[in-house]
Amino acid sequence: MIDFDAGVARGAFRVDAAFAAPAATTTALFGASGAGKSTLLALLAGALRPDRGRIVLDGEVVADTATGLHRPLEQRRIAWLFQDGRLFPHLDVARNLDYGLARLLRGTPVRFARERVIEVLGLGALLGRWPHSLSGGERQRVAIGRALLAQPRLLLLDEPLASLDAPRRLEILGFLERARREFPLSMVYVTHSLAEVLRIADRMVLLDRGRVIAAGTPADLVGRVDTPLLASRADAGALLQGRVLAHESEGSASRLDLGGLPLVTPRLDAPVGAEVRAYVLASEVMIATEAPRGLSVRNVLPVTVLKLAHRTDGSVLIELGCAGQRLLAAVSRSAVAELDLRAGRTVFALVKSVAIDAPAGGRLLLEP
Amino acid sequence: MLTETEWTALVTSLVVGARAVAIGLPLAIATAWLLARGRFPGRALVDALVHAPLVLPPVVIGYLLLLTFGVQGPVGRWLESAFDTRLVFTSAGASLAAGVMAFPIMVRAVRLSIEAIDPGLELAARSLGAGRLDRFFSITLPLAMPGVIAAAIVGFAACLGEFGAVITVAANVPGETQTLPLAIYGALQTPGGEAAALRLAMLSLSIALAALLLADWLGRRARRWNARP
Repeated sequence: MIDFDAGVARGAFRVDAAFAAPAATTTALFGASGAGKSTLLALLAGALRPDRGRIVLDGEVVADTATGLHRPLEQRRIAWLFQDGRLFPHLDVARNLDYGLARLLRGTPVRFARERVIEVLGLGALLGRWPHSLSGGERQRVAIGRALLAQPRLLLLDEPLASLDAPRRLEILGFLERARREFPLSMVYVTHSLAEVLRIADRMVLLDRGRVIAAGTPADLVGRVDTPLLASRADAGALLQGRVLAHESEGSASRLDLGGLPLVTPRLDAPVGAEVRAYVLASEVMIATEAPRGLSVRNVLPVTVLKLAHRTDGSVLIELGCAGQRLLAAVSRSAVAELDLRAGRTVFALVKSVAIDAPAGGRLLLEP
Repeated sequence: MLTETEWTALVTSLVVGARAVAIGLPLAIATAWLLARGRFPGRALVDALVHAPLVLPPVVIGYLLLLTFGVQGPVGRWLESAFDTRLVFTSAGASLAAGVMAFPIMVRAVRLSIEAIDPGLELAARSLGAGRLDRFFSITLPLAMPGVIAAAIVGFAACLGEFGAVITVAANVPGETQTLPLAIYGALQTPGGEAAALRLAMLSLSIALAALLLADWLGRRARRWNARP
């Protein structure tokens, strides 16, 4: 559990933020570069001393400017995973893994057993190798294992995928998800990739110029035209949660029930009843004022226009309501005028494609 | 091939140099770490003081050491009363003088290799629960080992060659403080001593070259050992 309310000045720039995260959840700190994400992480870790505020971890106050308390990083039991892994080059993989484990204070419970971590992260074959002989993805896997074995109460991930290529990124993200399922642990994940947030985060905190501008679950924050930062992105869209309803007998399509909203997708490799998350990009949704016929698009949904917002790139982002769920559509300004789209009007949404993320056989949500 | 006095001078040199490095190197490592990673007021002054022997005439350093560690000096008087030890005109004094002169060379070699270590590794070690001393011994020192080895060998070679500061503090006592350069100087002062001087000079040259080659070889080995990704 994290209860963070602190700030620090970095030259003329000030980072001052408050957020809370329940135990064993993953919180994504999301924002453009220079928004203060890394500074916030350093405050949380104890590498920086706040000039105002209080930080509480699992009920223990680790920093409080009112009493002058400041627990140093090495005593906070916060493991920090960096972009470049930072394995110790003079130690082999086994000794890298054991570095934190060997330094546990007496009485610290070993919740993440060595054998289990090695198994979950597939490190068995790497134990005798040296860091310089590992690939980027292997190095990051060892770094994750090393962080877990330090038995942290909080794991900080500072853009852990940023220095990897796309296939490696997918692979490491998969390992992170496995680790998250296997080992109940609070994580704070810094990234500027929306795809990573949607894939891994339970909660997100949006940062801009050192301040929190919005916080909540990803499903709450995306899919709205008025969430700053997100609504202006080219990959704006709606996140829907639901389950697999049925696979069509011809075997080429699956029907989903996303909280009451029916969607058809190309056949999913997930059993009927499996939970899925779907991300519908605003750019993949078209709007028609009459029920269209003779279309290849299979998802035609009657929707109500809820809100419109003009974006700086000249397009208009439209929030659509359907069966209690929200969808986003991006259309041109002239289309809005020609179709007379305004709040309250009933139209049809044509969903061209959907990115699906399922526990088994899921794929990464679209990378911008 | 060598006369007994010359053998004695060689052994004296090796003993003086070894002792100077044995005591000077740990201090040099600590100083190098402080200068490379420490942020404290007066850091520039410490840096300048460490480098002073490089730019001052050795005889000045010797004289300052005499003033401090001599029988009338503040430290010298205390050493005499507390430990019954004298540094002046002794082999220990020769080590002190040689060690002080070689100190900047050792600090420099260690400092460069500490500065080449990514501070991010030390931060990673902190987040894994390693305190300051622990980090130093488990991360910084092993990674700086090429520099430490180079410092030991080059420092040792520099001690063997030190003349001015040693003769000022320890004088030229055969069998006690007469190191190779002092023996060469003595031979040159003696009529007909040119042959002895040449032999000793060649000996000094071989030791110095061997030391530098060894430092280079060990340094390359250590760097391979610590090969970075």
